[in-house]
Amino acid sequence: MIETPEARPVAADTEATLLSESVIAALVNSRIYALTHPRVIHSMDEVRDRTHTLVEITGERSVRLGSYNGMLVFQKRPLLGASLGVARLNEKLEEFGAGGIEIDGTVSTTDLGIFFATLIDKRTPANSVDTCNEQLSLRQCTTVRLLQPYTDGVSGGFDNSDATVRMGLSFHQNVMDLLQTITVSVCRGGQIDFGPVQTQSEKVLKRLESHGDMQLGLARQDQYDAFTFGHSLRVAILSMHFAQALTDDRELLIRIGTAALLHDVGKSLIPFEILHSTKALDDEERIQMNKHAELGAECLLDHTDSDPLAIAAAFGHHRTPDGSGYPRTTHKHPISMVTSIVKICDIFEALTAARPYKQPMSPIRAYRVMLAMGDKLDRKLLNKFIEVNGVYPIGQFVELDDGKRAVVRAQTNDKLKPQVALLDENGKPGLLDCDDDLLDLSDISCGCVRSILCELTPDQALSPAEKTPAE
Amino acid sequence: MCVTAFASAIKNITIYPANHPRVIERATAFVAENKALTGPVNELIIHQDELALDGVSITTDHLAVDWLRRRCRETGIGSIRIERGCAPDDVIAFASALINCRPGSGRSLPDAWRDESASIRPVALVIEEHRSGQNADGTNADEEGKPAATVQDIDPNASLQEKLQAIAKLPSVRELANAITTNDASDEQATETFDLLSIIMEVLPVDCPTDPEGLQETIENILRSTHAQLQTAGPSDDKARTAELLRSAVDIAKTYFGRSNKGRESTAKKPSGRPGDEVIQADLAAFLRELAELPDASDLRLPPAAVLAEDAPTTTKELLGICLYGLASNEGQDARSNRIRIIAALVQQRPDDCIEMLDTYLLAGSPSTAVRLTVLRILALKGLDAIIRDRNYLDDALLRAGFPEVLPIAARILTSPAEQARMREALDDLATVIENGGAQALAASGLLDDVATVQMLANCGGKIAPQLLADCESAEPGVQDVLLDYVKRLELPECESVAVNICATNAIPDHYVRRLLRAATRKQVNSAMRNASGKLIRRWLQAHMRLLPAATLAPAVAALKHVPSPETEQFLRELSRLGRFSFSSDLRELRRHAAQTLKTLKTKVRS
Repeated sequence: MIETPEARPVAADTEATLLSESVIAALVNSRIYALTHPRVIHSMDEVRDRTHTLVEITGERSVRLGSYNGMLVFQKRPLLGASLGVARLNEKLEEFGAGGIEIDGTVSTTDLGIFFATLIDKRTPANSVDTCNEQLSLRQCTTVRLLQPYTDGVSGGFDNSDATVRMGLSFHQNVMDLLQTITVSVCRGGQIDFGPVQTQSEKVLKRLESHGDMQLGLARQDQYDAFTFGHSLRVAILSMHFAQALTDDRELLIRIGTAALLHDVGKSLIPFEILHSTKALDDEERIQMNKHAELGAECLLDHTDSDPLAIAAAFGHHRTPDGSGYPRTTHKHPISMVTSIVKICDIFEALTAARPYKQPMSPIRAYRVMLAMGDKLDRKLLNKFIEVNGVYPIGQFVELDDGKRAVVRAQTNDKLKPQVALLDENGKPGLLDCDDDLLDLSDISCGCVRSILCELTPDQALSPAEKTPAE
Repeated sequence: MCVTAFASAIKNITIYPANHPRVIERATAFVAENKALTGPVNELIIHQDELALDGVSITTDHLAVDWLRRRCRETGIGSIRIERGCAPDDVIAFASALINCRPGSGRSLPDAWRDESASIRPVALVIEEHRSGQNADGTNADEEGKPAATVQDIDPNASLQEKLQAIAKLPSVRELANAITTNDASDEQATETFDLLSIIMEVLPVDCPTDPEGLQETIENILRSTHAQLQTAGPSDDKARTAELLRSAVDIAKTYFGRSNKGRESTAKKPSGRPGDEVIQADLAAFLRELAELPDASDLRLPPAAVLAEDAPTTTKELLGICLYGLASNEGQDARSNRIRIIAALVQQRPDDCIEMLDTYLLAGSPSTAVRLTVLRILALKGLDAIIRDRNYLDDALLRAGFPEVLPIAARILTSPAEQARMREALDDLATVIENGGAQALAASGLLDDVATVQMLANCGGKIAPQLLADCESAEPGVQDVLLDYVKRLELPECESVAVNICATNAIPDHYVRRLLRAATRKQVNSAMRNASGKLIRRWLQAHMRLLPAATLAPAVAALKHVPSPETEQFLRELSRLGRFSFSSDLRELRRHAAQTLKTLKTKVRS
């Protein structure tokens, strides 16, 4: 019996999201490595543990993760965070015509191993949930199975009306999927197909032009996503938004977006344990990690059709004009403006994003940290970046001096008074493209002068609103 | 204790949103404890300063419990009915209602309560009395007269919670807390809604330092920072200030502690930057001051697409730099060949744009001789000899450091007499420090198969050249001719000089030339060498004695005086009798030379 959305415990969302990410990671790892590889086994263990935790919370016998309309669905509601990286899982489920996965609370790592092996086995007949489940039974796997597809009646439980969100999500899934494909290809020593990367870069640009605030809201996504591709996409969005203020040349903007999407491609060649370390890296690990810039450039140099801007961004996004940073050279190397743009956006994203080992910084603090870097950053370019991105970037939650909470929607001529959208008492995440209640803080014509009191974290912004005194 | 867990769960709602993991965690913890109680419904009664659970008095001075008691009194709650089967969501719903109920609004929470079926619900307060034994300022009259507690009084073996409670009573801690709340004293209503110390302690994780002094110091630091931050924040309305105080205290407390929980929420208690970044705060005023110091960027534009095109100068420079770095740092053959391909294309297409970057890697001071040589080979391959010459990439240091690999490039570039003299000097210098004068290394490199290299060495000459060339066994066409030409130019003993100069090239064996070079190196001819020379001369004389004039043959005959052997004596004897019955003056002359040489030879042998 599926619980009604209203009755779902809040903690279940978090656990279901974590479980979804583990399932996706397990699927990806199963495709890359042998099933006996420690990395695959570790993924399976995570799926098992998180399933156990989730059934404890829900009190149900099993966990049902559905796939509907490109989103992951848990108890009739979409899991937005997890859905960002779900394209590969969706593709696999669609292959079997399945509507989801059901994992029993007593699931074991062995059963999960059989399940994922069956999913990726090319001999398993496609387009048949029943046949796949029969195969699983034959292999003594009884605690994991595929679900029949959702019907509209079943899916009616979640909000299907917000097409903009779905479009945004779908777009992100495609980019994530592409970056994931590139990662798998690079891991296997294969080739990168630059055509799709440029296509996605062009789409980012189009979406910046049509849904700029929503795109930039996503760039302020400060929840840690288990898929490092989110970082690359956010850097690409920031870079293209920044570059839009510096040029009108669309072709160049697309090239910059492509460079930003691929700037961390070298991380594909960094050991998994270091890349996904949940603690601060030690010196040895740091040296390994720092190689990603050089490896990325090397990887792109292997391709005759790679754009020099992308190679330069991959190589130079951790370098400084004086030759320090890494890769460390004994000589000064020229750093193009495009590389500097990607570098600034990369640092800003890294500072303001959550990581397994750090919490996000507020934009103002991040700017101050960047300013403190002195000549390690192009200061003129940094000034421009702050001007374009805004003291309060789009998607940033703020508290107004009247106690109301809002999210920044657009910049105005006054860098301290952007256009904001007021949040209702339940709060609205920056992902939503909501034009209601827009308020231009720089507009004094209405006679109601308000200003920003402070930045808020999403937790602070989305906490239950207190009643405000009548104006 | 169940009541402590309940109070703690509710207290968290004042700080965190309802869906925050900490709220859920505390609510879940309470539900678990509540299930362990007997009876389907338990009632938490708030009576004066006491709390009672199902008639049993709860004795605890936990700050959260005290806060709950006060909050219940303010909102008109006499007791709270908690069903045994309540869920975390029920706890959160009740807590939200309790927090959102405004004291003094004229309506108590039980009055406003609608959901009578809720598993946790408030019951109106029916008994209201003034608290006894308490002073107007809230301090406990029973404690008056007691000496002030010190941190040393705290039992090190006490539980963390007990230590925290004891620390909260320390005068220094109280003083700091009062300093902060005094700032907010303008609105009594606001200050009554929270207990600062309680909030801070809520944030303390279980794995925080447990020594009392460390804890006291930490808490005092948090309070001081909170106070300072509130003062810098400037004036604001009371409500906003209260909220700010809450957030500041919690945020600051968070920075002092890590958190051991797993999962994505665990980042909330982790540092937000590198250790050095922690001193940088989100201070808007300071940020705006720093921003004003940045150079004006209003005119900043990206260069036109043409400037960033693949074949544009800036792109070329950047890409060339990356390839050169890669060449210097990567030993992988695939990567190297790839980079070499790109460098070759770049230098060929835009040599002028490459100069600056090439200078960086090719001029003196470059970290890698191998890279310099590789790039020079590329430049030479692409016919960019002029760049190498003009930029002096093939400097003396490289000639020495790059031996022997540098030789083919040098052979191509150093063609003028002056340049060859530079090379000669470098080779002679090198010979004094390198084993075997470098001959062994040169032979091992296989470069002696390269005619141009051999020719260059021969052309340069110098002290060491014979030694370098002595090991040349190459069968490559032309190599031996070059060697023979070189040998002919050497200052050789008369016999050898005559031998190499009179004999046809194909008549001189390769090994003879090598031995000759070794002899030139040692400046000494051994008997075997001499015998070989004599043999060559004898053969030549044998072949030409009736064909050439005596004047031409005479030096060869004379040279045999250096080859004391029976074969030579026999040959000269025969030669001295050649054409005795002929009237040819040439033969007579030849006989005379032969006889004279034989005489000299015998004299030498006797002596």
